[in-house]
Amino acid sequence: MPKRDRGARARASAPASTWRQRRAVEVALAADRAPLELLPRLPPRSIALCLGLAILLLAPWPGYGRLFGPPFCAFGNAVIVVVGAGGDSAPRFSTRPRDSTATPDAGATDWTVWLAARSGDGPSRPSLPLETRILGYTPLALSLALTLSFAVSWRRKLRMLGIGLALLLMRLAIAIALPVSRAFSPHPAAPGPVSELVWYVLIDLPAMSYVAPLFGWWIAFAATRDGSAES
Amino acid sequence: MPEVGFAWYLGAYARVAGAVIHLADPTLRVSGADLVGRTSLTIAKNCDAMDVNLLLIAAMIAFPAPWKRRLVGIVASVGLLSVVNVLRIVTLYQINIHAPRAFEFIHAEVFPLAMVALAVGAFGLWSRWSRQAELAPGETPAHAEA
Repeated sequence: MPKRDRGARARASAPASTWRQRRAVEVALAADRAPLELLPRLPPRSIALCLGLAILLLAPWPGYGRLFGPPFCAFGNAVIVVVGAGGDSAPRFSTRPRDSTATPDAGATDWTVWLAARSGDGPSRPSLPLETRILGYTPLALSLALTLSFAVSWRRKLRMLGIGLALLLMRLAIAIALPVSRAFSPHPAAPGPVSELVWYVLIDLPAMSYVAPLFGWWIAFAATRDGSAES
Repeated sequence: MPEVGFAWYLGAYARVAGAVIHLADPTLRVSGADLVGRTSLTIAKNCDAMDVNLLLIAAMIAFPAPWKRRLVGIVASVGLLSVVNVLRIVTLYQINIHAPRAFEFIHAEVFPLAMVALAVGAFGLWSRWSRQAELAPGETPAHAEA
Protein backbone atom coordinates (compact mmCIF):
# COMPACT_ATOMS: atom_id res chain seq x y z
CA MET A 1 0.00 0.00 0.00
CA PRO A 2 1.40 3.46 -0.78
CA LYS A 3 2.88 5.44 2.10
CA ARG A 4 0.32 8.20 1.70
CA ASP A 5 -2.55 5.81 2.42
CA ARG A 6 -0.93 4.50 5.60
CA GLY A 7 -0.50 8.06 6.87
CA ALA A 8 -4.04 9.00 6.06
CA ARG A 9 -5.36 5.87 7.75
CA ALA A 10 -3.27 6.55 10.84
CA ARG A 11 -4.66 10.07 11.01
CA ALA A 12 -8.16 8.75 10.50
CA SER A 13 -7.69 6.41 13.43
CA ALA A 14 -6.51 9.26 15.65
CA PRO A 15 -9.22 10.44 18.02
CA ALA A 16 -11.38 13.16 16.46
CA SER A 17 -13.23 14.75 19.32
CA THR A 18 -15.62 17.03 17.48
CA TRP A 19 -17.89 16.58 14.49
CA ARG A 20 -15.87 19.22 12.64
CA GLN A 21 -12.64 17.29 13.15
CA ARG A 22 -14.27 14.04 12.06
CA ARG A 23 -15.67 15.80 9.01
CA ALA A 24 -12.27 17.26 8.16
CA VAL A 25 -10.71 13.80 8.28
CA GLU A 26 -13.52 12.36 6.17
CA VAL A 27 -13.24 15.11 3.61
CA ALA A 28 -9.48 14.71 3.49
CA LEU A 29 -9.71 10.96 3.07
CA ALA A 30 -12.31 11.38 0.37
CA ALA A 31 -9.88 13.63 -1.45
CA ASP A 32 -7.10 11.09 -0.78
CA ARG A 33 -5.03 13.51 1.20
CA ALA A 34 -4.37 14.29 4.82
CA PRO A 35 -5.89 17.44 6.38
CA LEU A 36 -2.52 19.13 6.68
CA GLU A 37 -2.02 18.71 2.94
CA LEU A 38 -5.00 20.98 2.38
CA LEU A 39 -2.67 23.70 3.62
CA PRO A 40 0.51 24.20 1.60
CA ARG A 41 3.88 23.51 3.15
CA LEU A 42 5.72 26.75 3.73
CA PRO A 43 9.48 26.19 3.67
CA PRO A 44 11.52 29.28 4.63
CA ARG A 45 13.05 29.43 1.15
CA SER A 46 9.63 29.70 -0.49
CA ILE A 47 8.50 32.34 2.00
CA ALA A 48 11.66 34.37 1.36
CA LEU A 49 11.19 34.02 -2.41
CA CYS A 50 7.56 35.07 -2.10
CA LEU A 51 8.49 38.15 -0.06
CA GLY A 52 11.21 39.06 -2.55
CA LEU A 53 8.86 38.73 -5.52
CA ALA A 54 6.12 40.68 -3.73
CA ILE A 55 8.53 43.52 -2.93
CA LEU A 56 9.83 43.50 -6.50
CA LEU A 57 6.36 43.58 -8.02
CA LEU A 58 4.80 46.02 -5.56
CA ALA A 59 7.63 48.52 -5.30
CA PRO A 60 6.63 51.93 -6.70
CA TRP A 61 8.58 51.61 -9.92
CA PRO A 62 7.98 54.49 -12.32
CA GLY A 63 5.94 53.58 -15.37
CA TYR A 64 4.22 50.48 -13.97
CA GLY A 65 0.94 52.35 -13.77
CA ARG A 66 1.07 53.55 -17.36
CA LEU A 67 1.72 49.96 -18.47
CA PHE A 68 -1.15 48.60 -16.41
CA GLY A 69 -3.69 51.24 -17.48
CA PRO A 70 -4.43 50.05 -21.03
CA PRO A 71 -5.05 46.37 -20.16
CA PHE A 72 -7.17 47.46 -17.20
CA CYS A 73 -9.24 49.70 -19.49
CA ALA A 74 -9.64 46.88 -22.02
CA PHE A 75 -10.78 44.47 -19.32
CA GLY A 76 -13.09 47.02 -17.71
CA ASN A 77 -14.68 47.92 -21.05
CA ALA A 78 -15.16 44.23 -21.86
CA VAL A 79 -16.91 43.73 -18.51
CA ILE A 80 -19.17 46.74 -19.15
CA VAL A 81 -20.10 45.46 -22.60
CA VAL A 82 -20.70 41.87 -21.48
CA VAL A 83 -22.71 42.82 -18.38
CA GLY A 84 -24.47 45.72 -20.08
CA ALA A 85 -23.66 48.01 -17.16
CA GLY A 86 -24.50 51.66 -17.68
CA GLY A 87 -27.13 51.06 -20.36
CA ASP A 88 -27.46 53.76 -23.00
CA SER A 89 -24.75 55.89 -21.42
CA ALA A 90 -22.21 53.45 -22.84
CA PRO A 91 -19.57 54.28 -20.22
CA ARG A 92 -16.01 53.38 -21.11
CA PHE A 93 -12.68 53.43 -19.37
CA SER A 94 -9.77 55.32 -20.86
CA THR A 95 -6.31 56.29 -19.70
CA ARG A 96 -7.05 60.00 -20.18
CA PRO A 97 -10.11 62.04 -19.12
CA ARG A 98 -12.59 62.74 -21.91
CA ASP A 99 -13.39 66.24 -20.69
CA SER A 100 -11.36 69.18 -19.55
CA THR A 101 -12.93 69.39 -16.09
CA ALA A 102 -10.90 66.50 -14.79
CA THR A 103 -7.27 67.45 -15.02
CA PRO A 104 -4.23 65.64 -13.68
CA ASP A 105 -4.23 68.25 -10.89
CA ALA A 106 -7.21 66.43 -9.39
CA GLY A 107 -4.86 63.98 -7.69
CA ALA A 108 -4.43 61.66 -10.64
CA THR A 109 -1.45 59.33 -10.72
CA ASP A 110 0.06 56.92 -13.23
CA TRP A 111 -2.45 54.40 -11.91
CA THR A 112 -5.51 56.53 -12.58
CA VAL A 113 -7.90 55.56 -15.34
CA TRP A 114 -11.01 57.52 -16.26
CA LEU A 115 -14.58 56.41 -16.70
CA ALA A 116 -16.93 58.51 -18.79
CA ALA A 117 -20.26 58.14 -20.56
CA ARG A 118 -19.89 58.19 -24.33
CA SER A 119 -23.46 58.68 -25.46
CA GLY A 120 -27.08 57.82 -24.85
CA ASP A 121 -29.88 59.28 -22.78
CA GLY A 122 -28.37 58.45 -19.44
CA PRO A 123 -27.31 61.11 -16.96
CA SER A 124 -24.35 63.23 -18.04
CA ARG A 125 -21.33 62.76 -15.81
CA PRO A 126 -17.81 64.17 -15.81
CA SER A 127 -15.01 61.65 -16.17
CA LEU A 128 -14.65 59.71 -12.95
CA PRO A 129 -11.13 58.84 -11.81
CA LEU A 130 -10.40 55.33 -10.61
CA GLU A 131 -7.17 54.24 -8.96
CA THR A 132 -6.29 50.83 -10.35
CA ARG A 133 -3.26 49.93 -8.27
CA ILE A 134 -4.75 48.54 -5.07
CA LEU A 135 -7.97 47.42 -6.71
CA GLY A 136 -6.49 45.68 -9.73
CA TYR A 137 -2.72 45.46 -9.83
CA THR A 138 -1.84 44.55 -6.24
CA PRO A 139 -4.02 41.40 -6.05
CA LEU A 140 -2.71 40.15 -9.40
CA ALA A 141 0.90 40.83 -8.42
CA LEU A 142 0.48 39.06 -5.09
CA SER A 143 -1.17 36.10 -6.78
CA LEU A 144 1.76 35.87 -9.18
CA ALA A 145 4.30 36.08 -6.33
CA LEU A 146 2.51 33.44 -4.27
CA THR A 147 2.09 31.00 -7.12
CA LEU A 148 5.59 31.28 -8.54
CA SER A 149 7.43 31.02 -5.24
CA PHE A 150 6.07 27.83 -3.72
CA ALA A 151 7.58 24.41 -4.20
CA VAL A 152 5.30 22.67 -6.66
CA SER A 153 5.93 21.59 -10.22
CA TRP A 154 5.74 24.14 -13.02
CA ARG A 155 2.72 22.40 -14.53
CA ARG A 156 0.87 22.77 -11.26
CA LYS A 157 2.05 26.36 -10.92
CA LEU A 158 0.52 27.16 -14.30
CA ARG A 159 -2.77 25.53 -13.34
CA MET A 160 -2.78 27.36 -10.00
CA LEU A 161 -1.97 30.61 -11.75
CA GLY A 162 -4.89 30.11 -14.14
CA ILE A 163 -7.35 29.36 -11.33
CA GLY A 164 -6.05 32.15 -9.09
CA LEU A 165 -6.10 34.77 -11.82
CA ALA A 166 -9.57 33.68 -12.96
CA LEU A 167 -10.92 34.15 -9.43
CA LEU A 168 -9.26 37.54 -9.07
CA LEU A 169 -10.54 38.70 -12.44
CA MET A 170 -14.04 37.67 -11.39
CA ARG A 171 -13.63 39.85 -8.28
CA LEU A 172 -12.35 42.70 -10.43
CA ALA A 173 -15.31 42.31 -12.79
CA ILE A 174 -17.68 42.65 -9.82
CA ALA A 175 -15.70 45.66 -8.59
CA ILE A 176 -16.22 47.31 -11.98
CA ALA A 177 -19.74 46.23 -12.85
CA LEU A 178 -21.51 47.13 -9.59
CA PRO A 179 -20.46 50.79 -9.28
CA VAL A 180 -20.76 51.42 -13.04
CA SER A 181 -24.31 50.10 -12.95
CA ARG A 182 -25.17 52.40 -10.07
CA ALA A 183 -23.44 55.49 -11.43
CA PHE A 184 -24.61 55.38 -15.04
CA SER A 185 -28.01 53.76 -15.10
CA PRO A 186 -30.71 56.35 -15.89
CA HIS A 187 -33.00 54.76 -13.31
CA PRO A 188 -30.67 53.11 -10.83
CA ALA A 189 -32.39 50.50 -8.75
CA ALA A 190 -31.78 50.40 -5.03
CA PRO A 191 -28.93 48.01 -4.35
CA GLY A 192 -30.14 44.66 -3.12
CA PRO A 193 -28.87 43.06 0.05
CA VAL A 194 -26.90 40.42 -1.86
CA SER A 195 -25.03 42.94 -4.02
CA GLU A 196 -24.41 45.11 -0.94
CA LEU A 197 -23.00 42.13 0.93
CA VAL A 198 -20.84 41.05 -2.00
CA TRP A 199 -19.60 44.61 -2.46
CA TYR A 200 -18.78 45.10 1.20
CA VAL A 201 -17.13 41.74 1.81
CA LEU A 202 -15.26 41.21 -1.46
CA ILE A 203 -14.42 44.71 -2.62
CA ASP A 204 -14.87 47.42 -0.03
CA LEU A 205 -12.83 45.98 2.83
CA PRO A 206 -9.31 47.37 2.34
CA ALA A 207 -7.68 44.13 3.44
CA MET A 208 -9.49 42.16 0.73
CA SER A 209 -7.10 43.38 -1.97
CA TYR A 210 -4.43 41.50 -0.03
CA VAL A 211 -6.53 38.61 1.27
CA ALA A 212 -8.29 37.83 -2.03
CA PRO A 213 -5.09 36.62 -3.74
CA LEU A 214 -4.39 34.44 -0.71
CA PHE A 215 -7.85 32.90 -0.96
CA GLY A 216 -7.45 32.42 -4.69
CA TRP A 217 -4.05 30.83 -4.22
CA TRP A 218 -5.29 28.50 -1.49
CA ILE A 219 -8.32 27.45 -3.53
CA ALA A 220 -6.03 26.82 -6.51
CA PHE A 221 -3.67 24.84 -4.27
CA ALA A 222 -6.48 22.71 -2.88
CA ALA A 223 -8.03 22.18 -6.31
CA THR A 224 -4.86 20.95 -8.00
CA ARG A 225 -2.59 18.02 -7.33
CA ASP A 226 0.92 17.20 -8.21
CA GLY A 227 2.76 13.96 -7.66
CA SER A 228 6.29 15.29 -7.37
CA ALA A 229 7.18 18.54 -5.66
CA GLU A 230 10.13 20.62 -6.75
CA SER A 231 12.16 22.51 -4.22
CA MET B 1 -21.65 48.41 16.45
CA PRO B 2 -23.71 51.55 17.22
CA GLU B 3 -22.15 54.83 16.16
CA VAL B 4 -21.60 56.04 19.71
CA GLY B 5 -19.91 52.80 20.71
CA PHE B 6 -17.80 52.84 17.56
CA ALA B 7 -16.70 56.44 18.18
CA TRP B 8 -15.73 55.48 21.75
CA TYR B 9 -13.82 52.48 20.42
CA LEU B 10 -11.89 54.59 17.89
CA GLY B 11 -11.28 57.18 20.60
CA ALA B 12 -9.85 54.48 22.85
CA TYR B 13 -7.51 53.45 20.05
CA ALA B 14 -6.48 57.10 19.64
CA ARG B 15 -5.83 57.46 23.39
CA VAL B 16 -3.64 54.34 23.50
CA ALA B 17 -1.69 55.40 20.40
CA GLY B 18 -1.53 58.95 21.75
CA ALA B 19 -0.03 57.75 25.02
CA VAL B 20 2.80 56.09 23.11
CA ILE B 21 3.32 59.03 20.74
CA HIS B 22 3.33 61.42 23.70
CA LEU B 23 6.62 59.88 24.82
CA ALA B 24 8.30 61.34 21.73
CA ASP B 25 6.03 64.32 21.11
CA PRO B 26 4.89 66.05 24.33
CA THR B 27 2.83 68.54 22.30
CA LEU B 28 0.41 65.81 21.28
CA ARG B 29 -3.22 66.17 22.26
CA VAL B 30 -5.94 63.59 21.75
CA SER B 31 -9.41 64.84 20.92
CA GLY B 32 -11.93 62.10 20.21
CA ALA B 33 -10.32 60.06 17.44
CA ASP B 34 -7.96 62.89 16.42
CA LEU B 35 -4.28 63.02 17.28
CA VAL B 36 -3.00 66.59 17.06
CA GLY B 37 0.62 67.52 17.71
CA ARG B 38 3.48 68.26 15.33
CA THR B 39 1.17 66.74 12.72
CA SER B 40 -2.35 65.44 12.87
CA LEU B 41 -3.87 62.02 12.35
CA THR B 42 -7.43 60.82 12.57
CA ILE B 43 -8.20 57.26 13.57
CA ALA B 44 -10.95 56.43 11.10
CA LYS B 45 -12.94 53.32 10.32
CA ASN B 46 -10.59 50.56 9.09
CA CYS B 47 -7.65 52.17 10.93
CA ASP B 48 -8.38 49.69 13.69
CA ALA B 49 -7.43 46.63 11.60
CA MET B 50 -10.89 45.27 12.32
CA ASP B 51 -11.14 43.71 8.86
CA VAL B 52 -7.93 41.74 9.34
CA ASN B 53 -9.02 40.68 12.83
CA LEU B 54 -12.40 39.50 11.59
CA LEU B 55 -10.90 37.50 8.74
CA LEU B 56 -8.40 35.90 11.10
CA ILE B 57 -11.12 35.00 13.61
CA ALA B 58 -13.24 33.55 10.79
CA ALA B 59 -10.30 31.43 9.61
CA MET B 60 -9.65 30.15 13.13
CA ILE B 61 -13.29 29.28 13.68
CA ALA B 62 -13.42 27.47 10.33
CA PHE B 63 -10.26 25.47 11.01
CA PRO B 64 -10.91 22.09 12.65
CA ALA B 65 -9.72 22.51 16.23
CA PRO B 66 -11.20 22.30 19.74
CA TRP B 67 -12.83 25.51 21.00
CA LYS B 68 -10.28 25.90 23.78
CA ARG B 69 -7.43 26.07 21.26
CA ARG B 70 -9.48 28.38 19.05
CA LEU B 71 -10.02 30.76 21.95
CA VAL B 72 -6.32 30.74 22.79
CA GLY B 73 -5.50 31.49 19.14
CA ILE B 74 -8.11 34.23 18.80
CA VAL B 75 -7.14 36.02 22.02
CA ALA B 76 -3.41 35.80 21.29
CA SER B 77 -3.72 36.81 17.62
CA VAL B 78 -6.12 39.69 18.17
CA GLY B 79 -3.92 40.92 21.01
CA LEU B 80 -0.84 40.74 18.81
CA LEU B 81 -2.56 42.48 15.89
CA SER B 82 -3.88 45.21 18.18
CA VAL B 83 -0.42 45.91 19.60
CA VAL B 84 1.10 45.96 16.12
CA ASN B 85 -1.69 48.22 14.92
CA VAL B 86 -0.95 50.74 17.66
CA LEU B 87 2.71 50.64 16.61
CA ARG B 88 1.54 51.15 13.01
CA ILE B 89 -0.33 54.30 14.02
CA VAL B 90 2.67 55.57 15.97
CA THR B 91 4.94 54.89 12.98
CA LEU B 92 2.54 56.62 10.60
CA TYR B 93 2.51 59.68 12.85
CA GLN B 94 6.29 59.83 12.74
CA ILE B 95 6.36 59.25 8.97
CA ASN B 96 3.89 62.09 8.50
CA ILE B 97 6.34 64.36 10.32
CA HIS B 98 9.62 63.21 8.82
CA ALA B 99 8.70 61.85 5.36
CA PRO B 100 5.22 63.08 4.44
CA ARG B 101 5.66 62.16 0.77
CA ALA B 102 6.02 58.51 1.70
CA PHE B 103 2.97 58.57 3.96
CA GLU B 104 0.35 57.59 1.41
CA PHE B 105 2.34 54.67 -0.03
CA ILE B 106 3.19 53.29 3.39
CA HIS B 107 -0.30 53.89 4.77
CA ALA B 108 -2.22 52.49 1.82
CA GLU B 109 0.07 49.71 0.65
CA VAL B 110 2.91 48.70 2.94
CA PHE B 111 1.08 48.50 6.25
CA PRO B 112 -2.09 46.78 4.99
CA LEU B 113 0.05 44.11 3.33
CA ALA B 114 2.19 43.79 6.46
CA MET B 115 -0.90 43.40 8.66
CA VAL B 116 -2.36 40.72 6.39
CA ALA B 117 1.02 38.94 6.26
CA LEU B 118 1.20 39.06 10.05
CA ALA B 119 -2.32 37.64 10.33
CA VAL B 120 -1.47 34.87 7.87
CA GLY B 121 1.69 34.07 9.80
CA ALA B 122 -0.25 33.99 13.06
CA PHE B 123 -2.83 31.68 11.53
CA GLY B 124 -0.12 29.42 10.09
CA LEU B 125 1.67 29.11 13.43
CA TRP B 126 -1.59 28.58 15.33
CA SER B 127 -2.90 25.95 12.90
CA ARG B 128 0.40 24.07 13.03
CA TRP B 129 0.45 24.19 16.83
CA SER B 130 -3.18 23.13 16.97
CA ARG B 131 -2.68 20.16 14.63
CA GLN B 132 0.47 19.05 16.42
CA ALA B 133 -1.27 19.25 19.79
CA GLU B 134 -4.12 17.18 18.37
CA LEU B 135 -2.00 14.55 16.65
CA ALA B 136 0.61 14.11 19.37
CA PRO B 137 -1.28 11.48 21.44
CA GLY B 138 -2.31 9.55 18.31
CA GLU B 139 1.16 9.45 16.76
CA THR B 140 2.53 6.80 19.13
CA PRO B 141 3.65 3.73 17.21
CA ALA B 142 1.06 1.45 18.79
CA HIS B 143 -1.75 3.79 17.82
CA ALA B 144 -0.40 4.46 14.33
CA GLU B 145 -0.30 0.73 13.63
CA ALA B 146 -3.84 0.14 14.81
